[in-house]
Amino acid sequence: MSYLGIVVGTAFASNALLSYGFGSVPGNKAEGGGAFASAIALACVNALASAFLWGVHNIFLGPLGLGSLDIVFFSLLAVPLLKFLSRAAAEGESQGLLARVGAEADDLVVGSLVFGIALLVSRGAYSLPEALVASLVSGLGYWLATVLLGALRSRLELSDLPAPFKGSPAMLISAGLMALAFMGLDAAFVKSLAG
Amino acid sequence: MPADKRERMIESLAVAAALGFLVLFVAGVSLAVDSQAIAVETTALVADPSTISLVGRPGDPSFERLYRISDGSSVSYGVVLSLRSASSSALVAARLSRLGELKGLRLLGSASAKLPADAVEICSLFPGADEAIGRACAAVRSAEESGS
Amino acid sequence: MSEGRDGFVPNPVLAGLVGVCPLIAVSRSLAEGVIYGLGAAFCAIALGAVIPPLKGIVADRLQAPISLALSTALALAYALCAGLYSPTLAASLWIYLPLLAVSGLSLGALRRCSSRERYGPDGKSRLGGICVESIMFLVTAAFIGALRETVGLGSLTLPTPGLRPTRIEFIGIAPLSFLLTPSGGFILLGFLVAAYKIIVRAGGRKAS
Repeated sequence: MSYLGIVVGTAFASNALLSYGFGSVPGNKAEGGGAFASAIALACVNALASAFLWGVHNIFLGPLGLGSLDIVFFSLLAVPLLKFLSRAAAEGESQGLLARVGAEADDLVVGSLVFGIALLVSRGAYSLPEALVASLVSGLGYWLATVLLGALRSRLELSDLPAPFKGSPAMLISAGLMALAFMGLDAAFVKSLAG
Repeated sequence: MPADKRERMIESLAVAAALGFLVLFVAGVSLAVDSQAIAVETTALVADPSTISLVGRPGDPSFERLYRISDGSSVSYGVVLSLRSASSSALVAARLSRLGELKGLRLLGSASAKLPADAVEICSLFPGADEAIGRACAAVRSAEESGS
Repeated sequence: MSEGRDGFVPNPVLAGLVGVCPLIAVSRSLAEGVIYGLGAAFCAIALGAVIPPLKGIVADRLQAPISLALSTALALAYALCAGLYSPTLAASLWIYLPLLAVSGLSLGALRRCSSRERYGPDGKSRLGGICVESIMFLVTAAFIGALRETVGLGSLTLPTPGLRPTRIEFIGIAPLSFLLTPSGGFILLGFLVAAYKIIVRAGGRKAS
């Protein structure tokens, strides 16, 4: 698959939140001001985690026929390492962007988003550079979906909805419709676009 | 070395050893399950288990193992493909020739799809099937090259 | 999420949206819902039983990594057993089986084990609370799977062992196969949460 196909596919048709359901529930989490920091944190943590798991899965465990154990090594080695890195970044600079990225990354490390994207990428038919691009874009695709859903939520809060649909039901239905729209942007779309 | 630092180190080493045992235990279970999975796949691919042997683990996301089937005078290869689409998934047995060409496709089971009748229907239901079959064919060609 | 004064326990999925996103992705049939729900319940209950005794033995600074390692090992062990039971269902649940290690229910159980919150009729049992939530999660996962499959495919797949799970066909066509996609799952769940709110309010209780 071309890099353009990977970028469009992982950001939209195979969106981490809307297609695989990784991460937090749409609209359940309030979006704060540090959207840029969270986007960087998502991209960095996912890329590092996926590169680690790709190496463990494809170089170390795969040839031994123990590929399914990759997640154990991931939780034993990569999670503490990523926690250490994100805390070091958060403590290094008191108010700067790096500190905000570190704090966001610290929250992200133990969660289905990072674990899920890392597993998906390491067990996919990707080379290492492709895996890095896919994980980076997956993180950004998740961020895009949450930002769009956050904007939708603020509009829905002002709408006159029937009482039972206020809050999470309206958000879930909106997420479903958005997932439907994202599904259209897949490999076939890229092929017809790029030739 | 100060006593508290030594105590922390001993504590950490004890925990590392316990986690090491945990990894070994899970690895043991994984290997035991793997041999069972091979038995299930061989019976799904051929009726007579003595004609089939495991030749490799290509590490592909769609199939874990590649088998060589020596059926009398003819030799072919077999894989059990795991296919998925946005709404369903299925296990499919594929037979491939020595030249790396698809000879046949048979649906083994599906958890959330109407069972398609033939290879064309399977490929149309699962968009990634063609790519997975292509990778299986490539794995066969590479096995033949390394074997000859 | 905790028990009310009258003993009413809110549904973790429909009221608290706990572990709902993977449910949307993988709970597409009764069989998938049951096997995923069982795994989530097994991991949460096992963590609830194992972690508290460990707290007396292991130092505070090592508890978080050990809890995560245990959670991962339990999820992986369950995934391997599910593969033995039914390779088709295990392949269908794919990476979501090892991901049970960090599912909403498992992380909730870990949080509950590290908090001082009490639960249950006697106000003491933490494990009791985890068990009740886990069973409710299992039943809800099975219900969502069965509903999606019945309405979407017109059939019902039972979680039987072997390569080909037993399927009961009601009609020959798939009336609304869109429900089996993630987008259909999100929309169906939105309606289920709304229905749950109406039912709970009709019973004079708070929805969440």
